[in-house]
Amino acid sequence: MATDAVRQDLIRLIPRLRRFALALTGTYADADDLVQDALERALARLHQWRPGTRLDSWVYRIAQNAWRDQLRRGRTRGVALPLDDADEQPGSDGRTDAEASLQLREALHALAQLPWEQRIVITLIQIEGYTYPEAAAILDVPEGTVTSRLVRGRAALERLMLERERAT
Amino acid sequence: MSVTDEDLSAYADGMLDAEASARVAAAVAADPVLAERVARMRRQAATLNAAFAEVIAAPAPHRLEAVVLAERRPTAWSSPLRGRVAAIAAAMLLAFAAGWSMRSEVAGPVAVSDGALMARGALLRALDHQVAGEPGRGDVAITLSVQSETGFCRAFEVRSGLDAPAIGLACGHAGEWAVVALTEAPDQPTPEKGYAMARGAIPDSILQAADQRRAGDPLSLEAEREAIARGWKR
Repeated sequence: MATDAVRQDLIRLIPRLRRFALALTGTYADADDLVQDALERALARLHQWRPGTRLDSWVYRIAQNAWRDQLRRGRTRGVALPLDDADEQPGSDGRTDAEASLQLREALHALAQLPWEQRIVITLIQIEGYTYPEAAAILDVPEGTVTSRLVRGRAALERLMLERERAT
Repeated sequence: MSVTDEDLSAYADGMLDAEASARVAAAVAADPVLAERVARMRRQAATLNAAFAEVIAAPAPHRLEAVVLAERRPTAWSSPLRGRVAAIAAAMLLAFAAGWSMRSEVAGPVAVSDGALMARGALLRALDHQVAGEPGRGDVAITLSVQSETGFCRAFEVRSGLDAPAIGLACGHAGEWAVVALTEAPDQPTPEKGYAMARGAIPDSILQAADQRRAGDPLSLEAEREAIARGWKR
């Protein structure tokens, strides 16, 4: 049974979870669905969370599992829409991703082209600010795996951003 | 001394311990190519981080907060259907485990209605109007009343109408009490009058059911009378 304090903590986490989910899914609509899925899962198994440990890491772990389940089921669009079409995609609450700044849409577009393993490591560390050991714990992989995925992801992003600069 | 890509990445992110960091820093200071790579890594991380800053400020759809708050609704009368079914299943299981069958007479103390196990007849009247500890009419005693997260829950003891004396917990308000837990009454002689039961005599399963609803301290006699007057609405 969730206590009020834990509920408040979960509610405070929502903006960060949306940012995480947006980086993974590429659209606000899919991000909000993923956050909802993650929150429902977290509430259903709140008894598994050990008070005194970090609630955010635990919920992120649930969220990334939920995302990978969605990927396996082919439920998400998986890849952000091309930049030119981004404003065609309605988000929840009637929001359109056109509300996202060009800078954000470019970042989403670049992230979407990374393999999911690299995308999630880049997101956890560079966007969400987790340390390497924290990211390894969230993903349940050795720290060395996180580091090598991060290095490859960085190199790929670098290429993508360079291409983008040349194209404009 | 060679510096790997992993070293450079961890150095750029400030993830190395002091010793390793000093080692990489020396290599970077001695090699403009390495220095440029570290600078690009940091620039890229900063660009990515800045690009996502607006997401934190963007208003989140209300349904996400509602997901977190939804679960707090009391189980019986307004929770999602699955919660309701689970509560009923648990109550029925307890009932059947104790070898009872629900009597079907209209006058029985409980009836399944709209997927919930609801108090009826003498039990319903007692839940509505009877103060805890008061000798009951119709073989029903109320043993405890607590404020739950969003309403009230009352522990009761029923001596007739079921195949065995039962102790249960009902949550709701006047006219609408859902039985959320039910168990066989401990086999002990009950005083002829004055069911006043110490909290310790209430079975653990019932107390747990109350605790799951974030029940507070038992209501005082005065608070009970007040709640009765208001139809157990808050």
